[in-house]
Amino acid sequence: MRKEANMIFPLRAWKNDPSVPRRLERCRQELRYQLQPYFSRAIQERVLLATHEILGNILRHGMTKPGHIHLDFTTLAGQDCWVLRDDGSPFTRFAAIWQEVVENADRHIMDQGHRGLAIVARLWPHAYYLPHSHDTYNRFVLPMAFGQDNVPAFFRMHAVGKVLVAESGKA
Amino acid sequence: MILDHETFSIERQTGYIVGTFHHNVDMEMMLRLKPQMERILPQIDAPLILDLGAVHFLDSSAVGIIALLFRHTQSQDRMMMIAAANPQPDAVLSMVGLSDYVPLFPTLEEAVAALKHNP
Repeated sequence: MRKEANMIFPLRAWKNDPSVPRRLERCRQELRYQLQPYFSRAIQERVLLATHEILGNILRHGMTKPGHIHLDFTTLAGQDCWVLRDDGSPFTRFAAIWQEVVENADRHIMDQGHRGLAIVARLWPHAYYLPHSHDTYNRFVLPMAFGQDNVPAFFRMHAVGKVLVAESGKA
Repeated sequence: MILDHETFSIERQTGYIVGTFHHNVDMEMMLRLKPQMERILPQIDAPLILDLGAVHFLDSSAVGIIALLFRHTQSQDRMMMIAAANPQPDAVLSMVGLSDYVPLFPTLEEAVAALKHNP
């Protein structure tokens, strides 16, 4: 990833489709297509699964559905991050729910609700949520270098600094 | 046939039961499937093998179905196995801890053979 320019995926292809499953599937397809030239398979799969679960929550459970969702690779406070921005209504109880699923991910995955968030917590325990930031967008921020220790090799990001650099120069 | 759903079928074989996912599962399919699943759970009264060969992207919806079946087989003191998991589903099952409890086999045939050696 180049630091001077964020990679932004506005997800035009699926925006007008009212079916959540089809929107999520098209998002996955488009995202995979966009990520493939630049990122290792592990990063692609990690980003795809987390994005799928978070977008599913936004599209299904937001009180006011978002008109715009942006997916960005960007740098925040010197940290490479994958950021999902949406202009729907914010999740008001997110902090408490997130803390609960991070602490009790196993129980949520096997027995209770919030299973999708629990999977995101397993992939990215240091993720955080900024409801209605300065530009009225909500942000779900997934720092790229954290939370690798307890995930299977399939999702593990190696040499993050080098892997994120676009070799083809297309970024 | 115990369950014949566009997404997931469950079929009784001699001495065991096979559950087959026919494609990736999404939340809406899972919500339609779950009431049917809960109705037929009592019929799952033999070792269960789940065939994931047609699933290439496993998300929380499918994990929910697998967890439901796992809890049922545990309560019945029955064995559950998973066969033919592709790389992404395999990694998700490992990450959520299910593969610590449910043996995984590369193919359905190998799962059946293991079951016959260890009924």
